[in-house]
Amino acid sequence: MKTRRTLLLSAIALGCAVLTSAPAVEAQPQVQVQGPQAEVLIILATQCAQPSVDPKIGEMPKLGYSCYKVVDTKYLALVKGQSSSAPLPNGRTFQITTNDIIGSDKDKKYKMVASVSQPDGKSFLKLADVTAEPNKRFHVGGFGYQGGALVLAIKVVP
Amino acid sequence: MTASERMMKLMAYIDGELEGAERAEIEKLLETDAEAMKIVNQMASLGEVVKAIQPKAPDIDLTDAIMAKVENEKIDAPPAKVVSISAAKKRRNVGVAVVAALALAASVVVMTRQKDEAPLARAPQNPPAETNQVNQSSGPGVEVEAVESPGHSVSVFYLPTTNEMSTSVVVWVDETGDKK
Repeated sequence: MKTRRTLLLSAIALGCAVLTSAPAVEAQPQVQVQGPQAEVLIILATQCAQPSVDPKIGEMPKLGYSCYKVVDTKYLALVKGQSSSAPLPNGRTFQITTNDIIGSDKDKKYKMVASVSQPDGKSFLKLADVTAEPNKRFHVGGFGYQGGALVLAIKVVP
Repeated sequence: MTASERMMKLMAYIDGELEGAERAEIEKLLETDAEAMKIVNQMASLGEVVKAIQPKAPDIDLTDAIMAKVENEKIDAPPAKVVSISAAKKRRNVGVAVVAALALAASVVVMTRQKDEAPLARAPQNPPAETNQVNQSSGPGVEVEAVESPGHSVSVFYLPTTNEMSTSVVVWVDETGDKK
């Protein structure tokens, strides 16, 4: 009987504590909204004796290389009508231009153009028109680097 | 009469509890036995001391007063509702369940809010490693169309992933000379 009464009081106290703490969370000033971004994993694909895939990558398409290692991670802001770029280890620059953001909040799609700078660095070479849903990854690769190839694993982070 | 019996009778005599033949017997004894008389005198003195120390009894009989009060309340107060122990236990268990459910619901609400707010609080330049593991396969959800550029070969592939469970879209720029 005494134990049950103690449990009852504890539950009431816990419930009150949780309920009273909830508004406090709402009252906290929110961190500035960063907006959607493209997460870009810069991966070096090479041939090696011990096949391996960097755990940060997760699943990797079969490109014919045996080793995949993330050498850098970049985040590019996705703002409609604007381009955002990130330097690559091979001296070139990867660029994403957000042409449009369509759909409702739950079914948003990002229409983007993926480009890479020319070897001379004077202009960008358009590679593909991409329409991607959030958290769906696609890859852009083939840029020679250190005996292998650079592969970019890209996904939209809303 | 043994010594202990004689002592008991002397004490009863002092307390006035003896009557008739017993009382006469003790009074006769006291006339002839100086030792018995001495005992009676000492015990009588002791009794007076005890009476002097003992607090004075209240003028009102408390027991009667209390019982009278209880009787009055029995008459005035409505009869108490009789509830079985099992029914009381059931009711208490329902109360505990309701409170526990409220606490659980409140916890779920708070956890949901925290989950929704997590991306806002996360530093975009330093996300947790597990974000790289979410929905990595593409295929549905990503549409890619290669842009033809003179002097470059750009291809789009839908390749199976290393675990053979899904496919990924790959835009491949043939710069290495070994297009996959």
